[in-house]
Amino acid sequence: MRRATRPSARSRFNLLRPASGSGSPEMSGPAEQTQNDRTPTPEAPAETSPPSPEPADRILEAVQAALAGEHACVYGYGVIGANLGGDEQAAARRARQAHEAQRDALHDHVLALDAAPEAALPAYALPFDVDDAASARELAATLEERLAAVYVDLVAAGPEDDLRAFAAETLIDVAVEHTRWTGSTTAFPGLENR
Amino acid sequence: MSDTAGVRRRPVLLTIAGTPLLGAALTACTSEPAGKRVGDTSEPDPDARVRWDAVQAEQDLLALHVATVAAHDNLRDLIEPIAIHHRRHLESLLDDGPLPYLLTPEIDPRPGGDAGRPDNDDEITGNDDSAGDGADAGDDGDSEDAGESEDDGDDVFALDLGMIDTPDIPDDPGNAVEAIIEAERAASESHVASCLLAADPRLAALLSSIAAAEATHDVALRNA
Repeated sequence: MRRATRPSARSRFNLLRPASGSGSPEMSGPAEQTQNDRTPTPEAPAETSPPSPEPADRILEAVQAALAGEHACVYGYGVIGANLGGDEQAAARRARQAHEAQRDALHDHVLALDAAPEAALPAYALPFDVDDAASARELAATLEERLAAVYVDLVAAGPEDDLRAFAAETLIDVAVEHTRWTGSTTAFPGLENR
Repeated sequence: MSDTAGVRRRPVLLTIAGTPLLGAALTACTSEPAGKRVGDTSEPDPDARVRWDAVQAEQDLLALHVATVAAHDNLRDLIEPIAIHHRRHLESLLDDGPLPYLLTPEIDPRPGGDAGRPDNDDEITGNDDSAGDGADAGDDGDSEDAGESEDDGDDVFALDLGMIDTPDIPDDPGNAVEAIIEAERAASESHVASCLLAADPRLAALLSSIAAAEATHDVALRNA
């Protein structure tokens, strides 16, 4: 049987909000149906006692959050690549491929936790208009910055060594990608402004 | 390894560094005269050793940056934002919790003066006159660290390095930068390893973030 992630946490999962119309939960794709099929948590203890959620639930929630973040990131890089040319477009393509690989790894990890992986939404609302190279670079930087926070949370989520190692290594990749797009560095990737 | 660090430490720095850390050390001292002991009611922080490894890595990086700029002043603007990151890393690690029995950091950059220890502050931050007149020139350009504006007046390269050995710096500036890149890469790997050992999730998250910052230093220095 599959463990449901609390739907209330879903909004926090997304680096980007669903696009209005195309991505609303009511217009559900296959993944939403899967979610409806999940067994609801009858007693929902985590909702009433937030200080001590089960460690397994905390890990699953963090993995799902990272997976949802990667879905949004992959979508975003499609828009980014379309607004860049030459070497930058190639860089965006490489970044997208890296995020696809990370998405797949997280997807498999959710399955290994015997849960239904968060699905990609059909479309996401971008935080600002992306219609030229400058705004495309800014979106890439924004996505990587937000994703870094998600991976720091994954590092902290649980003691599981393999998962923590994956999260820490991916955080490095995400932070490096952020620096490649911005040329700048921060002292605490994923922990800044929190 | 450095178990004598607390003994070798100059008294004035012990006082500066000590307020939170010395308290923990004294507690350990009175309750555990024989040293490390597991299962005691006053069991030391299980992450103390992990934290100490990370503190040492950051101290060594800071010493390398300071020595590099001492040898190559033209690298000051390139290295300064990175050195400031390491100062913040070290501050965060020292604030995170206690170090192992009787160990104290050689470098404690925390603003002791602002925290109510004004008498000792000059020992750490007030000796700019010995560090060159151009010490503050690069601070204004440090846009990434707006959050620590209270520190912007300090010259990170004037940090008191305590008893840390000054590393040898290559004569060629390019090789000196390469040495820093290599040190940043090694420190990043070391912090990932520490992250996997940390019992406290908060410390694990901090170490992973520090490891990521050092990986970006590599990129920033190569692209400079």
